[in-house]
Amino acid sequence: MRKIVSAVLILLLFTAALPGARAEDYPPFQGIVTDMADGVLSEDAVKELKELAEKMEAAVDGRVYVLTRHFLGGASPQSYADQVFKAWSLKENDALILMVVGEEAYAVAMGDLAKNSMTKESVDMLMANHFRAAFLNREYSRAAVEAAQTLAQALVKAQGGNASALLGQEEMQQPQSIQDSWDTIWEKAKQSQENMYAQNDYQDESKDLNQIWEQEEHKTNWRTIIIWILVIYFLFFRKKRRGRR
Amino acid sequence: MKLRTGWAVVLLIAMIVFSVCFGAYRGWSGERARVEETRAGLETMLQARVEAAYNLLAVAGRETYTKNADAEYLDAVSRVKADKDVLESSAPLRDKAEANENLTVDAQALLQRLAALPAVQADERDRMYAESYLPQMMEQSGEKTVSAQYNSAAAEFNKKFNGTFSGMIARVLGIRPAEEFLRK
Repeated sequence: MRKIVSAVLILLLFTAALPGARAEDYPPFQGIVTDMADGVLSEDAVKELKELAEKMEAAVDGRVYVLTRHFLGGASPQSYADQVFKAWSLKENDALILMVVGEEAYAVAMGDLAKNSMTKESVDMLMANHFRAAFLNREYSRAAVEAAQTLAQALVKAQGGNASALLGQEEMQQPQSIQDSWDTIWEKAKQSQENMYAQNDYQDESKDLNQIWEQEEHKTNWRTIIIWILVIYFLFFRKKRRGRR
Repeated sequence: MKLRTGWAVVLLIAMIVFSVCFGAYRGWSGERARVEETRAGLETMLQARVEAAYNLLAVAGRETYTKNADAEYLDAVSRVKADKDVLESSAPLRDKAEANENLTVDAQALLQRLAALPAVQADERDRMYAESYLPQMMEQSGEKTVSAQYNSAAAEFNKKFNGTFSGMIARVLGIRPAEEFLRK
């Protein structure tokens, strides 16, 4: 019993000691905004982010959260954001923007439903266009609000909601620019191609592989049985025959 | 009859020897396991030290500060990086202890140079990092590492282990002294 308890204790201590996975590294959940970097976000920005989250939740049952902190001690921003997302038990349609002040690094973690609505490339592109410059320029409030708004709009739009309503405007039916149209066409084509790969090719490929593995396994089983029969024959049967002679 | 008595004596002696050896082995392996349990605490502290070094290097290694820096500054950066690499590696504890002590000195030297840079003085946020945030982080992680429970547990174990007869038997049976977190 003592050994089991010791083994469990060692395992717990070892798990706690893993870099980037320590419980004390995760800041306590403080709602839509968790500003651990000594208040780099202004009160107005926090208010705007909270209002945006309410509107987004009404539209698609999801929210955009923001976490700021100084440094990550060598951890990868993306894996840290993913771990915090899990530790905070955020929902499938939620997104978390991590801002690492001091390291000038950032990452976005999203739930499964949100990930299905937007590809990682789209999110990266969105952050590069609506977040990066302001963030590197240390305009943290502007960066957080603009990124959260754009991300929320993109998620709502991808799920068929009224994206403009998030900013308190009626949805306007404006003709899209040629560039926008091309972007949409390219995005859709890429998406359908990805879906096609995901649904057909990969499954077919995995089926084929499974069949090959099964066949190989049968072959191996037969080989093993034949080898064993030969071994038994040479060890016992031949000896007995010699004895009879 | 004589033969039977002889065998009985031999058997009795063998049983006594076995009991003594088994008891010594079991007792000392249990003690050793308890020392190893506290090692996880030391590793956690060392990880905090590594993280502090990473944070220092994130600021000191900014291109703005390194591109016009003198050789001494760059040397200080590489020394901190080397200490951090040893602490992160699977090197023996004695090497880590040495790297840990070096990190205290090297990080302090780098922080002084960093804080003295005119570019840092002109940047309010990085000046705060160089003058208060990072020195405090290095100091706290250093104090915690020194006071980690493993150090005293390992020293106490080795003192008892080396000074007793049962410890000698256990050593013959393959139990080794605990690795101490002290520099060579």
